[in-house]
Amino acid sequence: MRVESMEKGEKILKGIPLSPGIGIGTIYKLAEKKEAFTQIKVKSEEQIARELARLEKALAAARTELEKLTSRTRQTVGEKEAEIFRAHLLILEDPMLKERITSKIKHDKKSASWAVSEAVEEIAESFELLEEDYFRASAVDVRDIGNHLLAALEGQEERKEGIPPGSIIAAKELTPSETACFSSKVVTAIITEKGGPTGHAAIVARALGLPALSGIPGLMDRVRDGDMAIVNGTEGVVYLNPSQELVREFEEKRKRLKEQQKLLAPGGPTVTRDGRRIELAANIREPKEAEEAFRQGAEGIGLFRTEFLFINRDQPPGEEEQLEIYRKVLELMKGRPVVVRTLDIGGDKPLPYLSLPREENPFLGLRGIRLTLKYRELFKTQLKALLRASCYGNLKIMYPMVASIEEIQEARKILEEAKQEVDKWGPEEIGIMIETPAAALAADILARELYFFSIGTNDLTQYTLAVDRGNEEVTYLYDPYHPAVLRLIYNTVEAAHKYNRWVGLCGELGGEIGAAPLLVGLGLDEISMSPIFITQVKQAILDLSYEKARELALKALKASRSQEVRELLPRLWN
Amino acid sequence: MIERKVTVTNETGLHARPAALFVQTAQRFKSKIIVKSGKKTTDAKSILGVMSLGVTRGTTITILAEGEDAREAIEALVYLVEKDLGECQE
Repeated sequence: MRVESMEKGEKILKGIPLSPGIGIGTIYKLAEKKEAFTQIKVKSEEQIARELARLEKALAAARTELEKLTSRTRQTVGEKEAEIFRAHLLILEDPMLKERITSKIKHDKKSASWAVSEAVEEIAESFELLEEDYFRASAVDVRDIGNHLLAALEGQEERKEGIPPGSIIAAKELTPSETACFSSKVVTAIITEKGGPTGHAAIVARALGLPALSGIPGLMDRVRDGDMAIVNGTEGVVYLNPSQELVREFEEKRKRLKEQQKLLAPGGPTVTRDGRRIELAANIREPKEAEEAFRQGAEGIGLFRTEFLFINRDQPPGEEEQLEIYRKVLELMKGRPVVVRTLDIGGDKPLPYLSLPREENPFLGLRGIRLTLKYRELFKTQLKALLRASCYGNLKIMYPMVASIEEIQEARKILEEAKQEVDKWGPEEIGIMIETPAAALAADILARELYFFSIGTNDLTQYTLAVDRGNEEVTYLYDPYHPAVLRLIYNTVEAAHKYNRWVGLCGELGGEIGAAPLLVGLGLDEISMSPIFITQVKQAILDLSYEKARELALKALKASRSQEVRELLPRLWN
Repeated sequence: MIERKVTVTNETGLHARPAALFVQTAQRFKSKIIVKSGKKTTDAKSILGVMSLGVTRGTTITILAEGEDAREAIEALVYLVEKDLGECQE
């Protein structure tokens, strides 16, 4: 980092980075919470009873406040951060806390506010004595709850009101509640005297994407309200009263960072300009591709093909061997969803350990789910391995080539048998590939039985247009933009959404940037593709308006030929 | 009084979310449940108590329960800690 030559009046403050990014704005000091209550001693039984009643009311009010905060945080920040406040609720309802406060009221004859303030401080201090960083950070949580209680008792305004837009918040310390209430539309950065990177306030700041740093002793004396400042959260540096040049330089940096973040944030959300969210995932064939997928920003694995485990060998893979592989991918994806497709193989790829008959028509023959329903033990072994693997991540299981409800129900029977034979498993979600026209047309029947669909446009197109893509004579007829195929996709999406299930797409069409407006407009919840396409498709979707995409899709559904469909699509890239 | 020892293998020990899971599980039972770690003792149904034990990864704690569902309580809590407080949960 270059040290800029500072002009008169400019100051550089250095601290600990808490949350990356660059924020430019004006300083807004959050005054330290004054203990706006007087230390009143209560004398009579009546007064004590009254203080106890006030305490009850305050506990109830604080509980409501925290419940509201939890659900708001879940919507504006995320589930994990919302859990911080659920933990706060547990603290609030902790009998130990209430007993201590009550005892101070009853025996020490202190007023409710006084008792709360003392009890909270005592508990907070005992946390600060513990060794581990993250335990000490809990002191802030306890004080945060104390604040809610005091505010309820004294009818105080919390500090977050009335912050002007473009503010850089400067405070001695911030509680998680306060941080969660900052709107990134109003606040551009946060700087504090105290507070570590493992504390909940830092976690919330990071989740909000607000640059933040702390560890600046005497901060409140070194900055003034209205000071212009640049905050570099990534490096932990604040520039006070920077020159025009410096501001321009950092504005550039900030813009570039935002662009990069949009494209490269691993697992960062893909959202259209008007707020419609689509999940972008990766198709993989083997575990090491999962690493690449993660690097390319895949929010999950939309299709993990398992055939590689079964081909080119004399014996079928055992349960332990399969478990290793599935577990590896689940762990590599760090809790992001992984959709594993059970064995999808047929007469065209003979397996030495299964005596598959020669078929005239292998693509209309014993393949996919049909094959595994026939070779029950093989199927069960895979299912057992998957069930056991589900403890290590976010697993979804998908059956290929399903055409009827009986197949799903039969598979469920085998799954239940498999469960009897394993010790434990995590939550499992079952879905199917939509690749037969039957499944697409009868999607409403199948939706009730399952959690999700993933549309395999490659095979769906072939079966629908009655074209063998591999046959040179007719390969030119293979066309996923054919109105018939689009209508089947649309039908599937509508049916699934009617029953509140999610629908993804994992065919090659998903990786085509030109198709993005169409797929988004048709209402897909997820698109899974080869990892190399993710960045570009993401960029394309970020630039879309869902409303316009929807209009486009509905028009495409009325087209009489693919040419018309293609003409509707904007030329995004060459 | 039923007593069992169990080692905490979770990465952040019994802190915040794992502690919350532990306490919420304990609160399901009618029995009186106590947790000991080293010299410290606390009510297993109190999150502040459990958190203030400062249990880190690798620490062995003792869970004691007394009451009509003491056995179920101990089993549930031991199972929770052993399955790594998060391995097979949501």
